[in-house]
Amino acid sequence: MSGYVLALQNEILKTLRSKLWILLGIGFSILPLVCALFMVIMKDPEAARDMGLISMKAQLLAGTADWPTMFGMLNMGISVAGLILFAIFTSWVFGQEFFNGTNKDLLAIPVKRTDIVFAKFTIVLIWAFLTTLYVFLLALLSAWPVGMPGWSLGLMWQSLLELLIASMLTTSLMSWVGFFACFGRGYLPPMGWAFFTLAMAQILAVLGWGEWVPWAVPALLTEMAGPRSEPLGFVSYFSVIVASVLGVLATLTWWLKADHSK
Amino acid sequence: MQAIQTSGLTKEYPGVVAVNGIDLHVETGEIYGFLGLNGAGKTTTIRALLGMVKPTAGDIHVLGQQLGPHGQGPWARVGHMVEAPTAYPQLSVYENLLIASRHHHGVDRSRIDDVIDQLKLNAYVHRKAGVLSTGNSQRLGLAKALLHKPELLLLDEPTNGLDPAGVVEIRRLLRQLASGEGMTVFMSSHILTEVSRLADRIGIIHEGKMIEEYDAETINNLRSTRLVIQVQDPVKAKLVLETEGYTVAEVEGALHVLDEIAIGNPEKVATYLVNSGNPPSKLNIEQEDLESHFLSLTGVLA
Repeated sequence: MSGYVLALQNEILKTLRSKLWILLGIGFSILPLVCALFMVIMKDPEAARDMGLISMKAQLLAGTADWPTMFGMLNMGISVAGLILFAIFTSWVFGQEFFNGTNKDLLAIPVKRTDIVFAKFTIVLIWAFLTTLYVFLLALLSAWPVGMPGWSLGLMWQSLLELLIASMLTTSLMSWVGFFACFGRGYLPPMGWAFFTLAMAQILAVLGWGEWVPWAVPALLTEMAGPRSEPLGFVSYFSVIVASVLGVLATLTWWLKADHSK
Repeated sequence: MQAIQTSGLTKEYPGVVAVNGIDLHVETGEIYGFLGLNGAGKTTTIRALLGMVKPTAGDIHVLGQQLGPHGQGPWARVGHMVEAPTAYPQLSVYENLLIASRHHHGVDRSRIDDVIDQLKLNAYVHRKAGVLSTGNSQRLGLAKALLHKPELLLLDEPTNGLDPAGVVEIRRLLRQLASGEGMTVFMSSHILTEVSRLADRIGIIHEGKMIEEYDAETINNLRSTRLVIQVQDPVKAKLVLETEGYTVAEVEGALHVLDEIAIGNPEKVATYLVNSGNPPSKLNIEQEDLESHFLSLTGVLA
């Protein structure tokens, strides 16, 4: 078996035995449940007041309760919540080795360091993909009883594809989170980086420069930063790919060339 | 073939020379004790031998292979435990060993059971590594290092945290690995008695430099019992005793007699000195442990 496959098996075992994926799964569950709750409120605000879901003085939410709005909200949520929750998982995947001191066990072994790094990025990708599917499924299950108009099978597949694209774009930016977990040897530096990029992306998107900033692209794609008249250009997607590849290269370079003196 | 060979091994960090021009020659099958105070450069040397840190200068050959620029080396044939033993706390002892076995392609699953037996971890197989005692964590660390039957074992303070029985047990295991399986053991420690009981050779590192190296015979001599005599005129007394056939050394104004016959009959030695008009003011049978020698070498006693 190749070193990469063996390293990936190890990453899967470490992840399954950790409680983090369950905790993050619970965290992600909030997103579709809140979206479904908004649909309930928007569908019948008066009933929602009577049920105590919103206070008597609360402003009515703008928008209509239908499936396109539901999926749109879900997309927006994943582009922001994903940036933080995916970052927590990535920080753990890389940072645990330094927190536990097990990074020493990964250096002088027959499995190549590059295989170890690729296996770690692969587990992040697999987990993010499965989590996105789970979020979508939970959204369907929680919004179905609301009985909203606008449902079609075509819309569902289109929305799932858009959600997966937004999720995978966000996940591909996690390569820098992985790098900072290694460079900073722990959990705090990558989380600091994640919050910095989240804030930076929002500001630059509002200023109108978001198309050029990889970390703002998922939010622009899901129209989190406001509705768009034109779809995102190739440059935006390309900037995400470049940022992602550079993050992977930086992480590999660190593992191969840095002094592992701690 | 030499298991470890370094020439001019140097590692500098900004403002600090952690290792300064070390030449190491460790023969296959021997137990080499690498001794030094905390911060002497032991761990940095071991990390350099494992390709974890890049030397600023010098060459490193491990099991005949020069280490590559990106830490490449004959790692399938090397086991190691650097500083404190580490493990994934959320995984059981068995799962930690399973992970280590995958790091060494092709290690048979039955080998995991073997090292569990060898390190007496049977009672803890399904226990999470995060709740193990220090001693059992140390055992798990050693089990991981031994899992793939390495030819060379690099251990950094392997008996740290073990109780006296555990120390004896590990000492016995390492001796058996070296003599029975021909494994080369390179172990660092700051505890001289531990190293001197086990090692065929000892290298002493201080402030990054190798200041002394002893072979087994010298270690035995240094640990040997001697008759220590203080007299008014040591030069004359030495001549008297040498005339009587004793081997005498003058050390810091005192006479050291190593002959077993002198140690067995100190009154006879005293009689010769009294008869020569140079009676001893002090006559003791002492065992110079390496400890005081080591401390004087490293300047701690100065």
